[in-house]
Amino acid sequence: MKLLDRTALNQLLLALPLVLFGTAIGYFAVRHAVNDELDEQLEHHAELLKERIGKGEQLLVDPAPDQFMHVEQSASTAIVFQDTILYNVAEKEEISWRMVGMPIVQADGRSATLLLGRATVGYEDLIVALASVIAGVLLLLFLGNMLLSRWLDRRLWAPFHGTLDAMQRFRLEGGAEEALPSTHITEFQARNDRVGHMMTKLRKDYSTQKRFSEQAAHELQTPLAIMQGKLDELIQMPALGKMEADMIEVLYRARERMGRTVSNMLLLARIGNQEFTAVEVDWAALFHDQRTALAELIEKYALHFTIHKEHHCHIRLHPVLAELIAANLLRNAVQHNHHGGHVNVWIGEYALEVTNSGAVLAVEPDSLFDRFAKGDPSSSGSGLGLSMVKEICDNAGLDLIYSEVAGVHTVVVRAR
Amino acid sequence: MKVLLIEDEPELRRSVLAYLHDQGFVLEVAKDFPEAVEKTGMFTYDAVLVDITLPKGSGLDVVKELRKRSPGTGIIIISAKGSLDDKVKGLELGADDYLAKPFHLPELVARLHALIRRKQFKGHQAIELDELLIVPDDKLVEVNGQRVELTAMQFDLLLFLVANKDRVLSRTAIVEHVWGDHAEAMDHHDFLYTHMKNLRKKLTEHGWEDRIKTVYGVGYRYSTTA
Repeated sequence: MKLLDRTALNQLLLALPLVLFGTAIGYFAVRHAVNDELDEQLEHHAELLKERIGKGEQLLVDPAPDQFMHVEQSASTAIVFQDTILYNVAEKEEISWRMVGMPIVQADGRSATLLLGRATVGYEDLIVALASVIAGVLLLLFLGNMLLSRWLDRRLWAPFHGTLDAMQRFRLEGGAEEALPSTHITEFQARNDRVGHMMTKLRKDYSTQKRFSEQAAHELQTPLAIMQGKLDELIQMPALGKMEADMIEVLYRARERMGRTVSNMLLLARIGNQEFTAVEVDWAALFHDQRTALAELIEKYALHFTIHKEHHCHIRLHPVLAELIAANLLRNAVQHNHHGGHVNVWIGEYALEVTNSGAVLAVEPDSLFDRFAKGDPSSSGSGLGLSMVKEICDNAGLDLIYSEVAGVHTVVVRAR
Repeated sequence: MKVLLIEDEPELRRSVLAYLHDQGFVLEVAKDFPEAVEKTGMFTYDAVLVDITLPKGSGLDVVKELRKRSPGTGIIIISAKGSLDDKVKGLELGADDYLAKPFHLPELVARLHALIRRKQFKGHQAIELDELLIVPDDKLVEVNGQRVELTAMQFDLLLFLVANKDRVLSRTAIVEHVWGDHAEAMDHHDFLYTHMKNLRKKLTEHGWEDRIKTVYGVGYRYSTTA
């Protein structure tokens, strides 16, 4: 939930009970005041009538539609106020009244009770109107406050969102240096300075690290070439014994493995550090070529191999990189298969999909594209093939998705 | 055939020198940029092997200059810089081939032969060796005048062995030559053995005396002095 929405929700949660509570208090306060006033008037009037009745004067039977007078021939001891509902002939309905009962002594000396009433219909309307006004004003107040704070928040938080966008666009390599929005708010400015500093440092560290691995790999190539040359010379020696031959064989394999790792490391470092011109790629032809190159393995494992081209694929890439993707994906699919399994290549308009049967993954699916993530740690593979594919995809803005369902592995390369 | 090797690493220079010399090449060396410029300016070579990272200059400049001055010379870049950028740049500037360090010496020899064939014979060169006649560009092999049908891979294998005749070829060198980037996946399997067996069988069926010798634990050799 957005910060602004969260604030608004909290304000609303506070406002609702306050409006209800405020309106209720208003209602009862006004009602109390009105009753007090009515009671006072009724009492005065009753006192007046009491005096007149004491002198033997007659009372009007129906003084006014909203008034009520009656002498009840039963004695009472104290003044009593009460609300009551009586049928009104004029209005032809039951309406509410405020009544006072006052003990009086009639001219003939008998005690009785004077009942004096005032219809409160008009007052009720007044009270409801007043309460509504209170509720309305409170609501408006809260609403206005909420809108104002939203508007203010939006303005105040604008630099925050700017920085957030910049951080989302941030990439370790490629892309321009992000300019963080400048702001007059001290906290935001401090944070921007910090974030900017971190971004620059991240970029610098990353490229230093890449340069280092590139230089290291480069430095290793020459000694490897010397080793290779000497080995090639060494095996020309006449009368190599069995023991020497076995040792040389081991050296050859070790050199080979090291050479592959080094050259892949170099390639990985290069992919990120260089601009590659993307061109249209005939993916179907590429996959067919790689299939031919892997024909022996496919035959050995008796793999069922299909390449299905649904569309011309519009994923553009540098030819060397495209070949690396096709080669690594297919090699991976063939190598990690089982006898009689299958490899299916599907080529869509904006996606490439390689599906293969195989064992359940020995490494975590998430770490599949990590460098040196090998299912079999002792395998002669460099463990860099898939991370190379990942690196190429990352750099070309392509998604690389891996999934496994019941021993069927799928790798998808997709244009974003 | 006259070849110039431009390489600053003495041990590597020594290995290449020895190996190519034994294969019948006449080799000269330049160990830095000025020497490379001087030698390429003064003499003509059938082929030049150029390392990109040189003391006092770039091998790419040598390639550029050489291509202008002597279009008939074959140029192979040998570089430790990794295959991506130099490959593209080098080939754009006019190099004929590219070999990434570390490379197998037999591979270098095979590439040199192919390059010279392409450059000087326009592809129309037949190799005659003992009872064999090979026309690389037509993928044609004859034994005692009889045509032998080989698969592309078998042909490739034979050509590689013949180019490095009388030299022991390590299995890794052959596997790398035949399967390239996929060598890694082929390493542990007996594909090479199978291919070699079939190749020898096809040739001997046509009356060829088996000259491919298995060198125990190491690899194979095409032996002319059998």
